[in-house]
Amino acid sequence: MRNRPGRAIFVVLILALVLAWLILDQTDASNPIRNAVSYVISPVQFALERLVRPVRQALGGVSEWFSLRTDNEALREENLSLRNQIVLLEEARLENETLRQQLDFKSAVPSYTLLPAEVIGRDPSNLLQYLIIDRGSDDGIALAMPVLTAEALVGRISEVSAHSAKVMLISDPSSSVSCLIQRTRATGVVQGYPDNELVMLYIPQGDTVAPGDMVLTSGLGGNFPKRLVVGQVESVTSSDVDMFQEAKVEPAVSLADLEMVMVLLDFGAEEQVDEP
Amino acid sequence: MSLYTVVPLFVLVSLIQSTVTSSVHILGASPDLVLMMAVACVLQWGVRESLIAVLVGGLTIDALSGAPFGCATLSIAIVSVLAGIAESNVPRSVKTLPYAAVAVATIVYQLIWMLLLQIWGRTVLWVPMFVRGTLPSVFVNTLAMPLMCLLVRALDRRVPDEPTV
Repeated sequence: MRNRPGRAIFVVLILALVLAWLILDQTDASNPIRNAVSYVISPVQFALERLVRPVRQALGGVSEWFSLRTDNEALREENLSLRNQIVLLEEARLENETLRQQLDFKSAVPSYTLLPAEVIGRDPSNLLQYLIIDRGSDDGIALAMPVLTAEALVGRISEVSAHSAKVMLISDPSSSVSCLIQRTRATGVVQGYPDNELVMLYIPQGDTVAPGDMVLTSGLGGNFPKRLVVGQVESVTSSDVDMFQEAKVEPAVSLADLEMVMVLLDFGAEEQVDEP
Repeated sequence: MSLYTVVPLFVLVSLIQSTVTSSVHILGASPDLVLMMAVACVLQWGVRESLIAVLVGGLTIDALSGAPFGCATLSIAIVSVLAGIAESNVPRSVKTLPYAAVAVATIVYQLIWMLLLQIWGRTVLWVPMFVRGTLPSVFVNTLAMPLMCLLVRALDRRVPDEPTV
């Protein structure tokens, strides 16, 4: 092994730079460098993801094969029940629309501009839950924009470069979303938990929460639009000595397997109307 | 060992970790390829020879991660130095060294990472993250370590040494 003093100096220099960068990262000073790195890396990630996706899908298909029959039967039953619900909901929507027009209310469900994006990478650590998508500031993406799928809320934009962006998933421990229980309107905060799980905290003791209840965004705080599906209550933990109840929430969408998402481009807190 | 080979390899492995293996979950964890490769390289070539390549791997992980920039690089540098201490004190004939080293390295790496996240104001759920993130990672990384050692040994045999200037 050759001993090189130059190499040691280089290593110390890199570590010093990284330390400085770690501190600079709290400001926006490191953004141009991050952007440059993303500019180089994101096309390679995109190509790799494209290359691997068919293999992953094929492997997923094999594992799903065994449960196809039971899944099919369950889905048929659910389909029938949902069809009936659609008819009833359509009636309710029309009635709601008419009443809102009569009262001159702003629509509670504003139409948003959604930008589809492809997932090209995930956080390489096992401790954080982030996605990397193939759209960036050049496509109109900005910090804190909500990210969804057709089924549910997924997260929010946490970092943007010209051609890619990072999405902090709602399952990341640093993520918290103001939510409510659809059935009882009980409010709380959904926080991320390791292993792509969610926990709803700060539900007042007096409020009723039960397994199966749907959890929606409440819009409080103005970070997310109202009434986006977050998940379904799986179990509730409450104790007489605690001020609040806790509920384990199953995400409405499998956050570990996302391939496509949509970024809500024109959401603003001012669009929040009426109470939940 | 030639840096011109190992540095691009670390970058490629980082990209594979972010794009390919991050969606492979065993007990809720996916393999930390860069960490495993760093430990394997340090055990093969020593910390002085490997540290630059390891740092490049850490920097690439930082670029791909949502954590504050530098978390991965600092953690992996500390872990590599620790692996280097093990490499210089434990005889190579001890066959379990790579597995023990990667298991300890995973724990230290993730604890440092969590500490840095906490310092930088992120929410860290220490016990759940350790039990459901770190422990499965220890299992997965130890399980996959033989493959990484094979890869690094194959590199050692096939890649020529850096040309002397």
